Amino acid sequence: MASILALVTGQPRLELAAGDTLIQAGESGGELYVLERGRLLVERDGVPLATISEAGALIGEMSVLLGVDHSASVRAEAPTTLRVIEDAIPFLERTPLMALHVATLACERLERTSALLVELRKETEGRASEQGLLSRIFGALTTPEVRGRVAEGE
Amino acid sequence: MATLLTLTFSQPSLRLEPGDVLIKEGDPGGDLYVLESGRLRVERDGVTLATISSAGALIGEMSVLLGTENTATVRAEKPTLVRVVKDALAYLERQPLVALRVAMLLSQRLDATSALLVEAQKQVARGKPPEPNGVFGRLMATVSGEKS
Repeated sequence: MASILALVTGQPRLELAAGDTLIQAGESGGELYVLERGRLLVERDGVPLATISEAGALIGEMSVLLGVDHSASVRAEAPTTLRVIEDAIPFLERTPLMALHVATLACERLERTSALLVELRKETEGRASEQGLLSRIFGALTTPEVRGRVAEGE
Repeated sequence: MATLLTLTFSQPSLRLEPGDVLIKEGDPGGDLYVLESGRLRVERDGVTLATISSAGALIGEMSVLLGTENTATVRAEKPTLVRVVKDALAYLERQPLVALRVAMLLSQRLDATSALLVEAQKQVARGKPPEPNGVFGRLMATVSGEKS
């Protein structure tokens, strides 16, 4: 991912100490961050979701692309350096390789998630409650329209 | 922001009859399709994953972006019209607005999946955090961007 860091060398740097919060769930987004070094913890609704430590990893892209508030909190677990892209949408519109990279990363995550879900579905075959839940998750993975149904509590 | 159908208006259309296969699991990918009208069914390993009927929905993007073979089979369930983008990776490199639109659609799917996984994990574990190596732990780390 050195190429991604090369695309953002003109952007300002942000230094975080261990324990610093980068993103707070519920706050408005709009900025994209690229990890140079360090380690970040992602949490959603108090559930720890992931640790991000790979140089070139993107943070904040979901709120940028969806135009929504941050759905997860992100804080530094170690001294961390990031590049900051303010007004990320215009940046992506004039940087096609970055836009394509963002799409590719999302795609990789979907692909690995999908494979894990197929595995889970095979493990839980014949158990009705798990199968119902998995059907909804598969729907969400393939078409975002399923969100409306979730919101209605179906 | 312009929709994918607007952005790809100059690309050719392909007509499918019910039962026609648009994409076959295991075949080389590389082309991108945008649904104009009709209904498509997505299957993977014989498991039906989804039905796609929203105009502007994207098909084939996984193999294009990942440079892999098609991981699912997609067939028409009724007369269907799709916009065809051949050699889609080169097209996306020239068309940042389309690439951005694709990234947005994929993010919507990730976000919806992530929200459901958090909900599912809460139901199953009653408030306990997921075991990092358990299937929920791995699923949520993956959907949130952790590299395996």
